[in-house]
Amino acid sequence: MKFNTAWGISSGCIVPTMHIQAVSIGEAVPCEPFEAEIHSVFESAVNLRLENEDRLITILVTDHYELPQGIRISEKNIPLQPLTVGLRAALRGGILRFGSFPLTIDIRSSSIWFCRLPEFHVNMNTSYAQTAFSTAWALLNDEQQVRRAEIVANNLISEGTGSLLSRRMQQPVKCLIDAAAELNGRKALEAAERIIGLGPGVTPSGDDILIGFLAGLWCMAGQTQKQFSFIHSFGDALMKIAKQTNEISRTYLAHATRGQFSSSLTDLAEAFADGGDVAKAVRAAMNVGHSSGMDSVTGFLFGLRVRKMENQSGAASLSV
Amino acid sequence: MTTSQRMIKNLYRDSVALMQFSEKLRALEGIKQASAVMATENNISLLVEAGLLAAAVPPSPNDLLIVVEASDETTAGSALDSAEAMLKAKSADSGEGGVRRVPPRSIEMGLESMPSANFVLISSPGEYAAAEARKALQLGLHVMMFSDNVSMEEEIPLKQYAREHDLLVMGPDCGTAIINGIPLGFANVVRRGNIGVVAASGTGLQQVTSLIDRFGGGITQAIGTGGHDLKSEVGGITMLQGIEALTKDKATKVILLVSKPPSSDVMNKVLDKARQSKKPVVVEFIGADPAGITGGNIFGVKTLEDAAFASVLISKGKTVKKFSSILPAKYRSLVKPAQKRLKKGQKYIRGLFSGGTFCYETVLLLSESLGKVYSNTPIKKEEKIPNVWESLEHTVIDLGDDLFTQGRPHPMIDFRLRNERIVQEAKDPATAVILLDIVLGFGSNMDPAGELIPAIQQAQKIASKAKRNIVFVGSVCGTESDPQNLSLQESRLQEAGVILTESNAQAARLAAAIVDRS
Repeated sequence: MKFNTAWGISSGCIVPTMHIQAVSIGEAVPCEPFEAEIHSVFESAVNLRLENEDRLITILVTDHYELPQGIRISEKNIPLQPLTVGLRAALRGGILRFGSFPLTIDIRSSSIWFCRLPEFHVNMNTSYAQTAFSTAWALLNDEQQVRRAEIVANNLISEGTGSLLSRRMQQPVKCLIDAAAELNGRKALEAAERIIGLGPGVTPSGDDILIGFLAGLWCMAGQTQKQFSFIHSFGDALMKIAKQTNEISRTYLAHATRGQFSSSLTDLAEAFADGGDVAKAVRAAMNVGHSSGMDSVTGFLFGLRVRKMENQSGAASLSV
Repeated sequence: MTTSQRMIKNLYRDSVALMQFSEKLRALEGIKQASAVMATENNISLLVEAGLLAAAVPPSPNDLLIVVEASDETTAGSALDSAEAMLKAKSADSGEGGVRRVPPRSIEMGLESMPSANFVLISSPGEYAAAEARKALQLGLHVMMFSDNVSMEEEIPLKQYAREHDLLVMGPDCGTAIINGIPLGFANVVRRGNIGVVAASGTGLQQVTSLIDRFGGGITQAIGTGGHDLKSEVGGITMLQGIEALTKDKATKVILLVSKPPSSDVMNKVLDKARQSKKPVVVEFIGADPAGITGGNIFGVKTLEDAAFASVLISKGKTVKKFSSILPAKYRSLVKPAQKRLKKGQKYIRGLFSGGTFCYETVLLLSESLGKVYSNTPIKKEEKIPNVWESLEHTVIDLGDDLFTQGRPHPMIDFRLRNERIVQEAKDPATAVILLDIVLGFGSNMDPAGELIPAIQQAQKIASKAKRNIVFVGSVCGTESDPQNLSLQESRLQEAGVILTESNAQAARLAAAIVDRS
């Protein structure tokens, strides 16, 4: 005899409130009381817009995926869709409630997930990091071709190839990598401005590439003060143009500029840092959303290319 | 060929849904190209470059921009109308792929939308509950019947069918359960752990699970059986199945059984099953002599508190001996100061309970030390209170009795009746102690302290006018993780002058000690 964690709610005397214990919360989720409203509802995620703040927090129904702004619940059968956009939500005493909707999410004893990506100090000079790069690059391009993705990483470095979207991204992506290698913030921002909000998806592909790119830079950060300053100033500048994309993307970008990324990108960076199973980490990272995961990995590998190029005496070659 | 576009405000769809949506648009007759993207400046520029937008439109990054290239303007317009309708229908019903999702109106429909579910909670009026339960069982689902007013004639075949199909029927009249950590009905948010509970009593189950949490233990499953299960006619089917399930459950190291004493034939069956379990089994048959139960792997106890404590000790690998019935020192020190506040004529305890099992346990414990205790749920027939609306000497009333709940919510939710009775008892110069249970958790009132305190203050005011004091004694059944929060409720009640103990049993013993001025 075995029970699933499932709910049968009947009509009649009492409809029990569903009380869900959040498994974990991201480091950026406020624990103090807040007011919010439901911004958007997806099959296994709900975004809440914090009152008086230009950022979202995300309730995720997943067994493994963490976000800096995420409240993770693991129950598979929690119906999030009945939550409606505009419904008020509030956190009081560590319990998140949604107007009169019979659902509460308790974050009081949830573990707090911290993104450790900036601590990894990936060294692209190591042979295993270079092997990992080749492995990841090959897996990414294969997957993008198999899934007929609009963006294929190889096309972004081969002028005049790929979809209209790819062709439009080639020049700014090249500029972005060059600018980062040169630690040229103004040039990097100009490139980013041509990518931000570009492409399909609720987080447009261009934004995912930028987020991945920042992850690549952050995980190698800390080796020189100049690199560190560049990442910070580029991040600050990027947030000034972030209104050019939507609120969901803007939230991810805001966290990325602070060195906060999803667990899948964090795991991928860790695999580069400690010689872990890169193939497994790449597959997991690519498997987020329809194309978001692949686009983020694309950006991440371009981010790592920056240091690879620096190590090759700053030559802005994009050959792999 | 012509192009046309439409902006939909603040609409977010995941990438897969947007891609499928664009494909559907492209499949419409007369449509050559279609796209749905967030209306960012870069996307607008890309669409212009692709020839899907005749000219740039003002960017609006939080909105969805749908563009179509169609054979003529009419076709484009009607495609955009269809697109908007599709998206809005999805927005209202959240069905994936644009399929309208109707809210489930039957167990079958619920199962369609949640195919992995194997458990259903039924709280329809009693006359329909048995039929719904049968449907659920035939669909292979375990059942929790919150509904009452289901006859034993209906209950027995349901439970027999369930047993034959390795399914469980919790109830009818099963108000409390905790399954896989999820509180169902009136239940508390307790820590997960290694103690499995099967209980024929709702508030009994709440008390033991909350105390287990308070004592540092945790629960695997807490299975309710419903009040009829241990009657001879039903034969303890659910309790026996519960013991079997917990025996097989690797996470369960200790099994705890809670019930009023069953009929002797059922008691033997239950104890036989408990012995076969080989796991340690703590048994609280409220009112039965623990010595007659204890032996082998079975440890009998006298109170719900002892049951919880013994379970926690055993679950932590400790040895358990007989528990003392003496009031602990920390409460003994409260007796004299409380007695000093009472006048000579104040002699009686007035227990006003929302939980049936709390009431029953209190009657038992008070009877041991005080003798006669009148109640609507008496131990001896001759102690049945002649008029439930008026107390007589020591009186303990279960306000959750059907008599009080007809046409009004249960007293765990609605405090009006109890508050009126508190005030009424304060007017009686013979009232010394008003004894209360306060039950937290899901289903219960969200602020019991806030409900009770005004009545307590009014009662004290009435007594004070007559130069008397009333001693309020009680216990809060709940946990720190309950939505009402145990500490918060306790501190507010204590500030209002209520003497609180950790358990119902200790509250009863303390109340008895206060009025025992011999």
